Amino acid sequence: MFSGLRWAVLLLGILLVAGCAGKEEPGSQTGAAPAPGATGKKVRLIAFVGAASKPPTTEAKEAFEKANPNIVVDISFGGSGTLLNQMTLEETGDIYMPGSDDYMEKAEAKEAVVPETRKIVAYLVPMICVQSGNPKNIQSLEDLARPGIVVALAKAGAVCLGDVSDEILQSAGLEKQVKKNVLTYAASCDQTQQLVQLGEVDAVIGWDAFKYWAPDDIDVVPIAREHLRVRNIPAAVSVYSENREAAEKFIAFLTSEEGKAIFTKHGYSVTPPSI
Amino acid sequence: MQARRGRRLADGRSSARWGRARTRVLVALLSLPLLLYLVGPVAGLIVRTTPSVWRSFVCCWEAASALRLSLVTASLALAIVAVIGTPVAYWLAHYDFRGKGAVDTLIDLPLVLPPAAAGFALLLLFGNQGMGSWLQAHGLRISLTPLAVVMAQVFVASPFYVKQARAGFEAVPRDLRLASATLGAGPGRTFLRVTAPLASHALVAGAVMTWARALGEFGATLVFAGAFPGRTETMPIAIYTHSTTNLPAAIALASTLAIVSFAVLILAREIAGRRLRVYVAP
Repeated sequence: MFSGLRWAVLLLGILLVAGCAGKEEPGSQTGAAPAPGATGKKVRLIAFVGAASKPPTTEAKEAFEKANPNIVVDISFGGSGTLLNQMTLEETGDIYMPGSDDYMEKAEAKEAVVPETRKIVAYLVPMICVQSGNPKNIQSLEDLARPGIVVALAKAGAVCLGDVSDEILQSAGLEKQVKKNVLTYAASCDQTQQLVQLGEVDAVIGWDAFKYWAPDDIDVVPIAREHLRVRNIPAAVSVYSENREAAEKFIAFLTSEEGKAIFTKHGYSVTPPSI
Repeated sequence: MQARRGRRLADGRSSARWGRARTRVLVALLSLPLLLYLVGPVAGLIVRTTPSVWRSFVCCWEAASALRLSLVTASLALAIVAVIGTPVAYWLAHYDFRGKGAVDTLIDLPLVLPPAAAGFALLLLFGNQGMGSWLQAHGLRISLTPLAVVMAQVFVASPFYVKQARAGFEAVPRDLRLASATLGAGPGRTFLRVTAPLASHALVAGAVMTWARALGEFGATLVFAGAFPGRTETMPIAIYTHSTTNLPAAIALASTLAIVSFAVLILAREIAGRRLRVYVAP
């Protein structure tokens, strides 16, 4: 039993030391922040951002704070719906950046954002996402209806991607045929991606960014232009913001050339695809 | 005759020993399916975490701060639950009163409430639509802060401690408590010197389960405290946000959490087992 104690302490120690040895995050995030205006200098923005946008938004935040040392951006990542509820229940927050434009429509319907501040940060282009190497040789929407092909779709009505998938299949006249091959309907974008990444299904209709998130596990097949339904990742200033100017500055940064370069680097389309 | 009797006795003892050994092996074999089912997925996570992946995604400030936050808040939540939960457990164990059944059921409520629903309930009560405005006017903000992390963990984990502690207190023989009183000890002294030590194993078991549940808490925390890296992003939340765009990172974080939790639980059991020796007079 004593050897068990030593083993546990040793293991814990290694992990904690390794964790603490990690580089510190640039900029101040931990500890109590000064209240906005308390020192007369720093402005703290609160942004509610969809979890799928975490990597580029985190990098953009760091670049923005470096260029604007008097502004700190605190970002809470999560599901777009949960974030909207938090923002409206708490009547707090400066920026709302959901994972897709349908949630921005909901935010506008709730009068939770300032409509004229809405900007498009990136575009979401639907693609057929297949396992790496495309072992089932899926080249088009028609191939999703082939016997023996196992497909997953995002759940329509719950996920923007699900609504888009339905629209695409309806446009191609393949909805019934493809849905015969559907194994499951995913409750979120990331779950949709993970189903093909982990090999549970042969293909999903996903976003172009899925390929970037799992480059070793996912390949993408373009969808015929006439059936394409492009969506976007928007950002807008919250009606509860007390720092509108700073919030608009951050959104302007996201949509600037530097911001676009960051999103492009992370696999997002920043220019509208020609349809 | 003696030799034959001796041989019969020896055969009988060895037969009993063989029977006990067989029973032990049989019970162990019957336990294997559940143990394998519990260990298998966790082992799978750890095996998929290569050193390079672990270095890339775990040895960074965000993972370190998420792990630190999880360990600190879970420990704080445990301390709070122990302080406020012990009187409740004692009350339920030793007193009969009207509405006792309702109180008992109330304690179970966080167990059946979905964590996200619990998070919204806390947000509505302590957020701006509830007491939040008044609290903020007096300088205290709860929602979307580290304090909200602790409160969410206390809410979901408290039933584990209270139920175990109650069972422990109920198991303490009434005669011993009465004997303590007849020897001049007050209720407080009796609790500290008699009841608590005799219920210690249950208290420790409850504390371990409470800490583990608090450490793994996700839904209520995400809703009530948000996911601000470095402030309210606990390890389970970090795993979730990483899983969206970086599955290997999420797996690496999950296996780290599993290893750290396992190590801390073993440590806690070791310390508790060596310090708490219960002696019951024959």
